[in-house]
Amino acid sequence: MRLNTALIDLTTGHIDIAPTPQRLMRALLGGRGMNMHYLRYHLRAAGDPRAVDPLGPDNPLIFGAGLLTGTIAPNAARFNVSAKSPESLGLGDANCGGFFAAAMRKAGFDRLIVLGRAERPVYLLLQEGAVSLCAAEGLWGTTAPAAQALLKAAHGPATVSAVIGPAGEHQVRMASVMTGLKNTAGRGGMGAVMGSKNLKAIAACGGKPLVTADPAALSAARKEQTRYLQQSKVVRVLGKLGTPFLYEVSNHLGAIRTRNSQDNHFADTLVAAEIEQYSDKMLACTSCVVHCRHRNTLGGEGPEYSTVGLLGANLGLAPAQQVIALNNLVNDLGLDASSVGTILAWAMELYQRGIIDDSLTGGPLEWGDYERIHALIGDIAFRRGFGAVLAESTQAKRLFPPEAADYLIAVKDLPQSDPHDVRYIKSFALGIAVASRGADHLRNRPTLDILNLPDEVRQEIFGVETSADPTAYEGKAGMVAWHDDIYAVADCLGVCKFVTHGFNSPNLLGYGHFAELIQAATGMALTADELRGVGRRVVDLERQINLELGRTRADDTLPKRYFDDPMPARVTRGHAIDRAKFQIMLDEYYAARGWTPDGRLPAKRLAELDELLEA
Amino acid sequence: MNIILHLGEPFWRCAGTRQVTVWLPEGATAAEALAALVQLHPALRTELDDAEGPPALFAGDNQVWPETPLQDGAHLYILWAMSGG
Repeated sequence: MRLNTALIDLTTGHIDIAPTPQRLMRALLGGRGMNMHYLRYHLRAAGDPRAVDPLGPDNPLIFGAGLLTGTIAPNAARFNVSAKSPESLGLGDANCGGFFAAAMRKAGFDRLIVLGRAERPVYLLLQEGAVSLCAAEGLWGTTAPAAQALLKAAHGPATVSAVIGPAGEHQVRMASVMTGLKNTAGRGGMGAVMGSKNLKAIAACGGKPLVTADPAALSAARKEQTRYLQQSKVVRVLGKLGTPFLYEVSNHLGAIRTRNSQDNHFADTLVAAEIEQYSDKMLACTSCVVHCRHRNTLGGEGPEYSTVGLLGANLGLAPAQQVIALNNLVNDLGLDASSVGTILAWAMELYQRGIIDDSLTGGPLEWGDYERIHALIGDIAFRRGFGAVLAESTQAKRLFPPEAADYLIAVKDLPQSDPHDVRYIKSFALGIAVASRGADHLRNRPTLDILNLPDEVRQEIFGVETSADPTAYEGKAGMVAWHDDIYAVADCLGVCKFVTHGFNSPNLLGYGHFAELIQAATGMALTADELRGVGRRVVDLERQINLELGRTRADDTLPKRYFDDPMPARVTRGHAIDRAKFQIMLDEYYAARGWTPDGRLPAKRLAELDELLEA
Repeated sequence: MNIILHLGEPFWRCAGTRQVTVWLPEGATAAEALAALVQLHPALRTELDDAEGPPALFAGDNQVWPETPLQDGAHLYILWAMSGG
């Protein structure tokens, strides 16, 4: 299985296609890891990475499929989109499922690196190992589903595309890249980068199945691993209820971000059983054995737990039907639901406190006002009125009075991705503080921390001493570092977190399973330790990119509210993050990662990463 | 004494109801309440004993453990401790 990497310069129209370097495959596998290599390379090639305008032609935009994506390996559907983020101004990287990445690989490509800026709207057509640059005037201005339908009409029903909606076209800093009705490369404004390049879409016209090294072994591994996964309760429940089942326990605990984290619990109208009323089918991505995605009866797909929490509780909006309608709206317009829900809630609290008023907002901004929220989301996508201010996402703090930043629930200027208020479970707090792309649970969320696993089980999994008490600060750093590494490997392979060891269950696919799949698919033999080494390398590489973008230890922190305001109610009442204990946890984390006390890579490690650049 | 058990996702689907009342001797523990629940709804046994983590138990706003004694009239919430996204 040897596919190509294409380097596409939209300014000149020049396209270079070359086989993906084997040396990089062994070091970084594919997907997120290899994207990071090329991101670092091209940001440095542009001069000072800190000076690269995220919405300018020098920002590289990289689409990279996982090493197993498009094969029959379980849940290997995913790809990463990476660039310097216009939202956070730091490392930008978004991961996405669906069917696009498999089609991209079957068309002959592991990875597309897009540079420059087209003079007029264009899209890329991938077909039989070739890339064509096509005029996109007829697509510009369409919603994400409409653009995909037009591309199918133009190139055949098997065409699968990754597109931007109006939000990307208007370079909204929280614009996403969409494929299908809901699959979203949402984080960090990758859709805005695409829009800044006048790139509306990438359409892949499938092709032949991927040639694997040992098809019989791959088939046997899939069968055995599928059987193993289907014994897992979390896999079974996800297949029936999707992620919204997570709302109930978080809400009872008092850990649902509510009204911009002023409150920590909300209405029971958003539990899975309510969402289920609007679902008529569960859907899956390429090669998926879970089937976690709702098809909703309002014409879209979803919502996920994150959307339920952030467009529901966080905005004070209780009716499930309204939350599902907003879910469909952000997906059609090509917006990241997590960022939209966080930024709208931030604005609402600023309005509630009188920090901003009608002269800026153009009218009242009240919790739970569905009509106003619906209209504002449209205004954000098209940069109309107050929507143009909110379209700046976290960077809008430069447009608000200085105290506004105190109420922003973000880390490294990325709005928090998930609805979980992390003041209670300290490992979750550390996780979002150190996540490379900013406040995000999918980089390292140590979900095993709340399973009350016996000491010996935790010791066997993590290999270091950890605490069973989720509210303790001690014994959490190694746990977060362990999750960093395995989630990075899953992202390099294109495997979904829902089948990855450590994400809500100790009974999912671990390094040993991954090694078996890699060998069968590619012929590359890697041990479990070598695979964890890849995870470590990717996390280090991302750290170095962030350092080169000007990040420091001071950026590994939390929203002010998480330190200063105790949680107001329920089981979590009274919990906040102690600043001094947090700093000790951070020291321990850097030590667990082998970084210096100020969060830098040791010289020897940096030399190893620099050597990779020569490849 | 009677204990009102509230079943969260996905447990209530095995019982077909969100709420079950059980009668227990004074001083009974949360574990005894769970055992009484399983006796009424045997399909719950495999769900509650699942190796992917025991259910989280709450008496009102307080987290409790299997050995915790319950008060008469207590509302015991049985929830699956999950937090992904």
